[in-house]
Amino acid sequence: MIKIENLHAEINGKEILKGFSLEIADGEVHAIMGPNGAGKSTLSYVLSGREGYKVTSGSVTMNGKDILDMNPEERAAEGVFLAFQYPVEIPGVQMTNFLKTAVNSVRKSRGEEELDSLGFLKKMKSTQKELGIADDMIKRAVNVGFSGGEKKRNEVLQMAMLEPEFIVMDETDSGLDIDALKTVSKGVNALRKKDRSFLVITHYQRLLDYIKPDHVHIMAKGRIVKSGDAELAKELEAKGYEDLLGEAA
Amino acid sequence: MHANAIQHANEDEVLINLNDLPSAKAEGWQYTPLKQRIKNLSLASVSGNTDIERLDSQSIQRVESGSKDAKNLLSNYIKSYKNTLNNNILFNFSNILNEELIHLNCKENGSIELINEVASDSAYAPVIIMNVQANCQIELYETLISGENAWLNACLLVNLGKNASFKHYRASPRSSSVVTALTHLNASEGANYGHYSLSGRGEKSLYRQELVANVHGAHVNIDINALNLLKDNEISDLTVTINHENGESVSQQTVKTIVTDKAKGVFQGKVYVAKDAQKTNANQMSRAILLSRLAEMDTKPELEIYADDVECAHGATTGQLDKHQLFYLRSRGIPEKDAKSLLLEAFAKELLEKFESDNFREQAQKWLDERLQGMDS
Repeated sequence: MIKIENLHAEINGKEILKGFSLEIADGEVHAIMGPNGAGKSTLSYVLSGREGYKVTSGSVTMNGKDILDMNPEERAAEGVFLAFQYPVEIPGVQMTNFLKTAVNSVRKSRGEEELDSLGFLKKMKSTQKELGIADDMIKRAVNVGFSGGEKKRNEVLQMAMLEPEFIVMDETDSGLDIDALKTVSKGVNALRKKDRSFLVITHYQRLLDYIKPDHVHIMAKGRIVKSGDAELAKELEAKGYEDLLGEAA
Repeated sequence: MHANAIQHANEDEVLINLNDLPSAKAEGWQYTPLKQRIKNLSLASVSGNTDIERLDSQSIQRVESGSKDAKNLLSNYIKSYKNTLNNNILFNFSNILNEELIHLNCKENGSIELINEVASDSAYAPVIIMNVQANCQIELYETLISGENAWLNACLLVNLGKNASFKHYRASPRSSSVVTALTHLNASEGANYGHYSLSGRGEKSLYRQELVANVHGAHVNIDINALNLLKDNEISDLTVTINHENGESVSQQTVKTIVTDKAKGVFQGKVYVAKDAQKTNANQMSRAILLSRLAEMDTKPELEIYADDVECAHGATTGQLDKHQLFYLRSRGIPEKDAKSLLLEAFAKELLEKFESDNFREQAQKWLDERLQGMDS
């Protein structure tokens, strides 16, 4: 369903992605690991359509549709979701208002009926219950005063509410202690289903103990240099990037 | 004919001498071309109206300007505060132009509605002296209305007695002419002044709000809140001077401005703390968002502090909408236009939450919703 082919992208004239290719089938979880500067975050921004990143060649298609020509909101409607490494604080915008606007914008674009207040609240409550999210978090402004763990749980909450088909998780484990990591992973695992795919970007193998990938890829200098199954992550953890990649990196 | 004068239509008498108006070089008038705008008006007469309603049990007295009573009233007000009023250009113009003086004596708690309206093709410069007696709590709802091609210069001189409380709500002026408004205030020990104003009319309007607050006792609290939503070619200026003559008092200024098109916002905020005004706590914050390339915000914060044991702070930011916030919202499927609206509303709404009057807050919310339409593109 997701097909990334020979993707080249640059920021401020500097090429970061240099021929990145990857195919993810429905329901699969792929992990991308790589040293700092490999281009992992750039990949997540290029996939979600952030301004400032210029794709110079290659393509990204989702269910056969080219998404690179779409703006971020169109991609979201199409089913792309980026879980941010650093979720943004938005003072003055209340969580419920934000979520309702987002859910209804996406529904509208998908040609579905918008939810009224009652319908939205029902969906909200059941999602909260499923993920164990207290009302207190919902009553605040978006990410304002949230702890590191709360911010990441909020990403999972949005993921659950927007029901995307393709989820990119950018270093979701960064800044989390082991308990928060377990909670967030549990939430993500609850969302796994056969028509939803995940691209989990991480620096460390730790996260993959909780979110079990079907495939693991090692990224270096803007492209995938080695692929394998979950064992590759363990091997990498034991040997380190330098040893495993040798001169290839 | 005088080259530098605006004449009465049917008389030889000089209505306004343009030389008396501040040039762009005059201190405090660098950003707001009052003289130029007045020059371009064809003012024919002095004509306007002041309405005061919902008086409850306050007393009101209208006296002819220049009469003995008027002189007494003014001199009683001015007596101890000469320095801050005598050189005030807006006050001087009111003194020249106004025909009557209104004295409002507030003895009991209540709310008052004040409407100043200038007729088209005219100038009008009402002077209202308010005396809020000790322990008395007053809410004032002020509306400034100007006809086409007109200048309204409204002066409100306020004396706050001991522990008096004065909440001053001022809606955005109506119509697109020149409006200047001076609020001059003397606060006794324990007095409270809350200022809540909205500004934004669009077109080629010019608005200057001037606030002078003299703190003459301990435990005074001055709280100034202004929201400006500016578009077209308008200029909106808020110039504040707070004189902390006595210590152990608090002043706070919070100004939020959104500017688009070729509009211009001006905020000049001065805090003066006298040598003996120890333990003064004065804060000032101006935040502005510019939405177009030609939008302008001029901010001039000034602190003049002679006491050594004080807490004073000022901050000013002018910038665009936060790109990270915008991308975050859009990545959740919210279209760019809606995302901008959400952010602008959040920015402005924070200030409305400080408005204590439910009525005024609702009115402000409605105004905000209307104004933001078309500002977000």
